Amino acid sequence: MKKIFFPFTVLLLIVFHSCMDEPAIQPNTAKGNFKALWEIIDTRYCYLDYKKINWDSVYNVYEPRVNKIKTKYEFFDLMAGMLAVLKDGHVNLYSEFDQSRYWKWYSDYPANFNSDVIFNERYLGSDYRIAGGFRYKKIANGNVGYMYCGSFSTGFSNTQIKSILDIFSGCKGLIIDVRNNGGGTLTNAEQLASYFFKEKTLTSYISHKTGNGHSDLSKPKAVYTSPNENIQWQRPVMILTNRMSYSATNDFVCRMQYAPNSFIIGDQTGGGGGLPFSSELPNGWMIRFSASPSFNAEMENIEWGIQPDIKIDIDTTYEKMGYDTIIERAVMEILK
Amino acid sequence: MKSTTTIILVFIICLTVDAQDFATRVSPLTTSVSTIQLGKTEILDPYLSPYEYSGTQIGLQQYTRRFFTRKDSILSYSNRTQLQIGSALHPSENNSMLFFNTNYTFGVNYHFRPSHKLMILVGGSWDIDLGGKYISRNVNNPFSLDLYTNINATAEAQYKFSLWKQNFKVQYGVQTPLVGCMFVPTLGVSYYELFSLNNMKDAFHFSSLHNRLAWSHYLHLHIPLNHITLCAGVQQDYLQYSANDLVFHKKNLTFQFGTVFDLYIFKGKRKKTPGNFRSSYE
Repeated sequence: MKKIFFPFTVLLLIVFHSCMDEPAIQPNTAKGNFKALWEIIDTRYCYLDYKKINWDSVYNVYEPRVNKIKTKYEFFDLMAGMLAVLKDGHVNLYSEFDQSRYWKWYSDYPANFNSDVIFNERYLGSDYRIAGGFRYKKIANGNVGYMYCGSFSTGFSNTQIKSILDIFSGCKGLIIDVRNNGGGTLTNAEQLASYFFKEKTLTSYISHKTGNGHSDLSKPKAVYTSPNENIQWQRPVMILTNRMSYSATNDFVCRMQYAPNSFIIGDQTGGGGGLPFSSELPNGWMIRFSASPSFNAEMENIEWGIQPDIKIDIDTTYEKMGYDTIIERAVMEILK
Repeated sequence: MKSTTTIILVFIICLTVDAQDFATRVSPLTTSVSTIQLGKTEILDPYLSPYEYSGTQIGLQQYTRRFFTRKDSILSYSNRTQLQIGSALHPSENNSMLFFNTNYTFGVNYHFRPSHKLMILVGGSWDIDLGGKYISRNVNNPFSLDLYTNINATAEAQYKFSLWKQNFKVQYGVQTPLVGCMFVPTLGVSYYELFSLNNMKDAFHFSSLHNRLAWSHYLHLHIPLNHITLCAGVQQDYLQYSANDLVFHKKNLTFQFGTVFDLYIFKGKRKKTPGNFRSSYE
């Protein structure tokens, strides 16, 4: 009997010991949803300490207002107001009737982009080509290749890039315009950067939350940009930026800072250095928030954006005459 | 020319002798159970959402079993292949999750026969599972990979009884994992960091009773109907595992319906299995 009893007891102890506690969830009430949102940001948002935000005091300010809420629309606006404290374009609350957003990362700054101007005959005109999401054409009497990249959500192939660069083969330099590019897929940004590197180069670091503490971040992981094996552009390349160059575009610009023959021209990028993640509330609303901070190769945070090598704003006087002074400066840098 | 004729004759004689032996010797018979499954599921995957999703799933299962050798009637092996797909809803029912799961299990069973009606199988199995869950509206964490392999303990009881002059079988089986390895992402790590940057640290975990509790049990009834045997049953699966400070669970209740057949072609549907073929179900 003892022979059976001992292993049976050990097994029971193991099973009993190993019962896993699932975290308690908030109820689907106004208070429960508020607390769930507050806790998600408190435990998983990666910039609370970096931005010096006292999240406990934010709770104390907003929580008493929950009792005064009468409609779900008011409740949504209250939650959106709380999230705006984070000043983060990657933070959004999605409900069935609205999407909260923070746009001051670009709306408080000069636009530095006018699509009417880049589509006039001096630049893209109407006879430009389109491949892989790029609109491109030779400008400046055929001496400069100009590519407009409005999003990194659209993928592209090596064949498409090879074709574009073949068309630009007689040009002295290339302009990649990523103004008003709000981002997309990181791998697309990485791929586009790879055509401008000669060797594998450390270009950034990425980290992630490892615990509930505001500064519980993993040891930063080095991110390298490797050159494309078959296609390389080795002449000057100018990257045009403005405050709406955000998220994956911010990552692209961060990589291109370290590419040989590359210059960043225009305004500071909008930032968005935190890789966004999603979570949910008891009522089904979705919250998007920055979860994994990224840094440049010098371990400087790029959440607030990247400074250009040549800072220049669009001159509105010339803009009215159909000139984009940021493009003109890039052309000048290539041809000088 | 003579030598060639001799070789052919010897070959034919050998074949004939072997054919005669084949007709009389005891041979293991592979029995296959094919079922379709329909059931309910409850999924908690905190990498995707803190809330338990519940919904329905459909699946297919193919299970075969036979004795190892022709002289053997106590040790059998089995193969099980499963495919399940389904969708589940957030408790508020305003968001959905799609999921799929594939599983292969190889098992070995020792057969006890306490009476001529009762057979008890005890053994172990190895399984490998690949699946995924997908919430389309999530950003950078829309997909959660399920990947694990386990060594399991298994047991099954099978009882034969007669009703309305037909021979029925009822089976009850249970399986639980003992040790294995599983993939579990860290909550804040994106799949971009995991796979594009190859940062797999803390992604694979040794699993055992301390961090993975699961059991699967089923009740099947084999119903002879004319010249086929139908299988109807119910299965319940419970899985809870924990790693990287995350606790996951999946609970299934599925109803199964299918056929049981022996993988040997006899002349005509009405022809009974020859007595020299031994099924691991007998």
